[in-house]
Amino acid sequence: MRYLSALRAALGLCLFFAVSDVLAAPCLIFVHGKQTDTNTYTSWNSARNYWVNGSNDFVRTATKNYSASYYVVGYNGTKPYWDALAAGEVANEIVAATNGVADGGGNRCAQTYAQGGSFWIIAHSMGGTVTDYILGNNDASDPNYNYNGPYDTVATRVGIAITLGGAHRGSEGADAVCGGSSWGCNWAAGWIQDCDDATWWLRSSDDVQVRTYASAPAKNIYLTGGYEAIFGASACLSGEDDGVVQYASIFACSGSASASYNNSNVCGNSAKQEVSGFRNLDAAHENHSDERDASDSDVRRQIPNGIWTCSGAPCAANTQVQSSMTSASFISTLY
Amino acid sequence: MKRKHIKPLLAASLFSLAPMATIAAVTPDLAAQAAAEYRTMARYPEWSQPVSGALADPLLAGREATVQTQAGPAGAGPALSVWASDIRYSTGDTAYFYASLAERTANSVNLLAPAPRSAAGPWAVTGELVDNNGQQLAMLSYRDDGKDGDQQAGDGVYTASYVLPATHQPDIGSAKNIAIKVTAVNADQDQRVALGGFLYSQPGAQLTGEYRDRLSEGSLVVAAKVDVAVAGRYHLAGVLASALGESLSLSQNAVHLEPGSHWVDLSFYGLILREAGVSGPYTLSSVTLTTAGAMPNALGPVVTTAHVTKPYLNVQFTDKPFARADLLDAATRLEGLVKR
Repeated sequence: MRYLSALRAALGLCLFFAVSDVLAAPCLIFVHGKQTDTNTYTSWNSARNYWVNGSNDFVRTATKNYSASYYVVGYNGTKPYWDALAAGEVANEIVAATNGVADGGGNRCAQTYAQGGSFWIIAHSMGGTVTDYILGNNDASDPNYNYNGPYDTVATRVGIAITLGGAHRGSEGADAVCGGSSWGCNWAAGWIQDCDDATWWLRSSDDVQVRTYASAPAKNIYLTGGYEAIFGASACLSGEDDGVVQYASIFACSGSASASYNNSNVCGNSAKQEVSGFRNLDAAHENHSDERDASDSDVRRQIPNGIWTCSGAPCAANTQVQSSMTSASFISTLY
Repeated sequence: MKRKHIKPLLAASLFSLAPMATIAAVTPDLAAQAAAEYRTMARYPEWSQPVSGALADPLLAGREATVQTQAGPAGAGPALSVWASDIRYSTGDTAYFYASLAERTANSVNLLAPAPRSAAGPWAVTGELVDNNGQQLAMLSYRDDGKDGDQQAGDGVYTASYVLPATHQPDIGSAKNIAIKVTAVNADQDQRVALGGFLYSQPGAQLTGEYRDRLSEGSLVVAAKVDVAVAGRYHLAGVLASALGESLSLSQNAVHLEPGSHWVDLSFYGLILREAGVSGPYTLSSVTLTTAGAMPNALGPVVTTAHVTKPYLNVQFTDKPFARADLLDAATRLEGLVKR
């Protein structure tokens, strides 16, 4: 009987720590990137699989083997970032997540907003553009306030956003595809096979840029991305890139969206596309696909105003700060 | 087909790109870092934010046209770069389009790739203007002879001009995206293609050029008079600068307006001016009125040095933080997270 009580107490303690782990962690809300079909919108499993590559699972790794709660968003990734089925759908799903509604797979945030939960958006590629549009149009003074969804509620409830290879300033790959000059570009994994509406609005031309139609984000957007360029594709992009998105865009730089940057000179926090709200994290030797599927545990490097510290001070730009770490693992170290 | 990346050892040994060793580096507590920043940002409202004086005027920076650059097959040089004189035009405006051909700075992967044959000029450069439905507006010929808007003959910058016609104009209060597909061909029929673009914009209201300013509840309010042709949602944004031209604050306001003349307020939060330690007169260094309500928004032109205010002492402005509730709440929640 005494052993039973001890066992019960031990189990209780384990349960207590497990529950406290979940409650002490943010709920991670995953927003995928551009799609060539509507699968991630019509099928939650497709949206979930966006983050999986074989046995590698970004969501599992980023949540520390599910010790943090999470919600996976699915939207129509063939539509412009500002469309009701893109930004509108994402905004509605994020609000649902913060209300404790389960995603299509039954996953829900451990705490609702009303219960004191903290919510972090994790967005890849076009998901970053969608995030910019929502968080930059949340206030009644913004140009496209609550354009097609509850952007204000999202901005109130989200703590931070982290983007992976975010197309904040569009993609020169989209320029090439829509201009019919993608010869030899070899786009990775068919990210931008054709010039559909989403691709058209992901060009680097200023008349389609999200910064033209949004203000500074209401909450900080933290930036990371890859520099594992891809032969062929990278010949079509300026400076370092992940094979699909160039650094000027991944790191939301002001000035020309096609400026040539590397890990030493990419724009710092005071030279972003808006006066506030964009912050550098780091760069990884990953390509656009690796960034979201935890399949390439590789070198990470500090960038200007990056997050890594060396002996108590910010590491110098381009310092190798990790020899083998995926972006998913990196996110798991941030909370 | 994806080619595996250059391993760091190889890259470093070939190019001395960076130190080899991984040093002991750690990530600070991001939640705590964000929370601390939010508590600082919460001192100002979302509609009026401080601008670092060292930075370029953010409204003007947002109108800086991006250069689109595309290389030839498999990255062959030279690459074709194209850009426009502005990011938006209205009916009757003359748009200038530019193109140049130059070798591109290689990135780390390009350095290992076999260099494709580089093509030589002279080049014949043409542009096709199309809307997002694929409808052609015009074909343009670029020139580098110092005539018709081309600034200097033989400088390698080709120029074309186009007067935005009424025949293709968007409805008043709306805009449409126009792409310009630029093609350069040489005598060997080598081809380079790059895609640029701009907004064909017909705003539903205009700034009249009349402004007035006042002190209100500890903040500086600059009101702009606008003439509205069609009812709609309008977004006014402006940058306030010191007499020395340093940008101090970016402010914005959005309102629904009916046809007629109206005054629209831009409020610059007093604490920003007080903390800047600079007294007036201040200059509304840039201002623009956008017709919002539908995508793409109809952008208006940016007016520079629009208005100089009356003299104000910076101590006339409020010293009270705005206390943005959403940021303070987010900070509290972030501080409640435990980094493990």
